Amino acid sequence: MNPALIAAIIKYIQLAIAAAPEIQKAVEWAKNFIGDLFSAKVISIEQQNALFSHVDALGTVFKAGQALPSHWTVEPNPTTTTTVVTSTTP
Amino acid sequence: MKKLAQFILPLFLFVVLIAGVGGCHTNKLAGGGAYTSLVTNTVSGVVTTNTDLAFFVTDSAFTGLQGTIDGVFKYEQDNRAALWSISPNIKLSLDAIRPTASEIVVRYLALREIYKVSKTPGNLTPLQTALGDIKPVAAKIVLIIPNKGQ
Repeated sequence: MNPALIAAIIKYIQLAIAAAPEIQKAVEWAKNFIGDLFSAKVISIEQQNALFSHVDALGTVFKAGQALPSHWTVEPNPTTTTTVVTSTTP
Repeated sequence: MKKLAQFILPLFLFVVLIAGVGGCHTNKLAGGGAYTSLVTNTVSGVVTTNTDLAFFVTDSAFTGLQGTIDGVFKYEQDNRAALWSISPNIKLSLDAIRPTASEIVVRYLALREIYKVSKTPGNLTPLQTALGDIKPVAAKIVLIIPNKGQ
């Protein structure tokens, strides 16, 4: 893997997090993990356990026969309301 | 919306990259972590650490992909009225793929429970298959909003 490409992606992800903080949690794993995996560092016990727990938690949310988070389901379409103005002549 | 689009594609690229790495680095997991296990040689008594890097990389890739999809779905829900006024096809296109994405995520997590109980190659393969199934779904999802559902 090209280290320069990895570094560029890390930087882009960091910029994107700053631009769209609502998705920061979704990419936090990517940001923290990528540098360690592609460097000489070893993935620590804490990092492993945190990832394992994170996916375990997803397993309690996404379960067959259980209601999914609403944004993963098909919800009714937005309704557009048309205001009808009537006038009555006296 | 533009910022979200600019972010999603590189993130997806990254996840695909790391998903392809698995197995290239054999001693990257610290012993004692959730993706390692201790094995005692019954003859010599020597204790060694087994690392399940394939499982770690699979879970990492899944987390990235699921998180990416989750981010797009949530963004659409949070900005539904505005996105609908731009193009109803955004929601409609995401709605067409929501059941598929949900099914694969549920499947991955169920297969993961099986693998956790019995960590065999035969149980890891379906997990990696599910991961492979979610990649094209995520690839499709990340382009829906930037392409206005077309």
